[in-house]
Amino acid sequence: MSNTTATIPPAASMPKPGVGLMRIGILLALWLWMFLPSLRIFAETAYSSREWSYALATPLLTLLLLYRRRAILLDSISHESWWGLALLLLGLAGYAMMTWPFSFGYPRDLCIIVTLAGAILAAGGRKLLKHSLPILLLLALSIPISARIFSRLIITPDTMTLRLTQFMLDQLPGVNVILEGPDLRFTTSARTGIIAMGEPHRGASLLQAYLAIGVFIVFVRIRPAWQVLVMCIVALPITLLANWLRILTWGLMTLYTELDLASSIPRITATVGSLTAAYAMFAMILVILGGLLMESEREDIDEAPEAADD
Amino acid sequence: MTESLSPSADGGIRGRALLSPVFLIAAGVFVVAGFGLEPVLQRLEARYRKEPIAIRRPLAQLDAARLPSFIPTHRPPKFSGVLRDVGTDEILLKNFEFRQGQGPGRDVILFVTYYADPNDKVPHTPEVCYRQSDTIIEQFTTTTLEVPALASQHPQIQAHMLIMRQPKSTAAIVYLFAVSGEFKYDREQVRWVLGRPGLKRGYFSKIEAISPFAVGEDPSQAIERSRRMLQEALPVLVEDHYPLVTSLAQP
Repeated sequence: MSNTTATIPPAASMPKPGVGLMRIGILLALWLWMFLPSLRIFAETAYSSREWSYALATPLLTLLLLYRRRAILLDSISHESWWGLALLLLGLAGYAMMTWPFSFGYPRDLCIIVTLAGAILAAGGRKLLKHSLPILLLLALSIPISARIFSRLIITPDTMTLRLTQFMLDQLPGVNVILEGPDLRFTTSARTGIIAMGEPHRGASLLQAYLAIGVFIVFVRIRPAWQVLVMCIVALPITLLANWLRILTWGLMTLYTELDLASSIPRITATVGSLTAAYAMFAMILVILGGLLMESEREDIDEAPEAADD
Repeated sequence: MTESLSPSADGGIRGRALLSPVFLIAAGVFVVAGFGLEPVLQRLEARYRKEPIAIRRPLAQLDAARLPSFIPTHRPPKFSGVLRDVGTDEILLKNFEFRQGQGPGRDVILFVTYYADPNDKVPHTPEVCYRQSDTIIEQFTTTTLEVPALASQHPQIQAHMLIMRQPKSTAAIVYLFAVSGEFKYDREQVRWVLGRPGLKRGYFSKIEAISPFAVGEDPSQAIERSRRMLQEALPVLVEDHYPLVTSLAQP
């Protein structure tokens, strides 16, 4: 007969994933309750705007990311952090200040994400916050930017994309395309008209949608840090390329089909095509990078998922 | 004999771990902010809301004789789309001719709007506003204006400069904002100044100088005309029209 005493470890020294999950769940629920009016406005904007409609898919993409990364997220839960409280207070202070005395809508909305980051850090620790960053980034990309800020941001890509599209389409045989202001005016033997007639921001649109696709496809799997870094570098070029393919496709469909100039088919085709192209470009580069993984890195990823993301 | 943990002991540890100081404070912050933040901010806004202040002299009475390089003309502005839903009745839209020795004059449009209520929306800026019609931006940058008459209080005044192209015309636009006695070139800077606590009253004004030029022509002279217009118009606006800075703080 042997006496074996089970020692009760001091509560403060050992993180308890179940307790950590409860903390996170409660704080997340409080966060949702507090910012529900703002989140509702985001959803209404996404529902009513073509530019932001992709944000309606954000809850599903977020759940998918949570599910795919569940092992590493659960494994990351550790002690609470006072820094999380500081971050939460910072986010709330920013939210308050951007409401009064200053009135800056988009920075105020971004502070909502900062408070969420603070809650995660407070409840689950630094490692959990680190592995939650892709989800926070996806949420941030779903926040609509005000029309004025958006118009200012896209001045250069808008102009350059239209010029490049005009140049490319003008090379086609039997086609004459000129750029008058923001209008791509075309003349063919069959007809004349304007490509993407009446479309606002025709030269730069859905940029955040392309970036959101990139974030999702990169972080749906655990990848080495160097792969993430490479994808950060190529994200903007891929976004701009997908944007250009959108208007180019629109132009080609307008030139070579008998569709009415006001038809929505070219727009829908161009939108779906460019989103697919963005997905394909991100995926292709990831496949190439995956082929460059050293055997030791591959083993590391298979055996210890948390190590690959450091 | 193996001694197992009693459920109450384990539940007690879990309970104590859940109700840690960090968690309690974080949850408390959310609850307090959720109930109290909006009402407090609304009260603060009502309590410290800035008051409007009228312009001292209407913009329409601008003394054109104090712009030595320009002669007012009665020709309509060549650049279309200038007047939009500007949100104020205090507007100056005037066509001038740039005096250039013996050569033919070149048009410069001075477009000034004044907003007496600091709580009004800061209007669209040209690079956003004109792009809603048939206009494309070819160049967008900042430029520094030297205004000797205002140098003591404003040694350097920065403005935005842009080249805009419409189907049949191009123009160089230099614009900036006057806000509660300061000059800012960015709309967000204006909103920052308007929101800053301190002054009892506030105003803002957008001043644009638009110089049309022919398609294919070098824009540098058009840019210089717009810059010269602002350099001469700003002192007149400050000295004759905009409220005095001292009157913004008076009870």
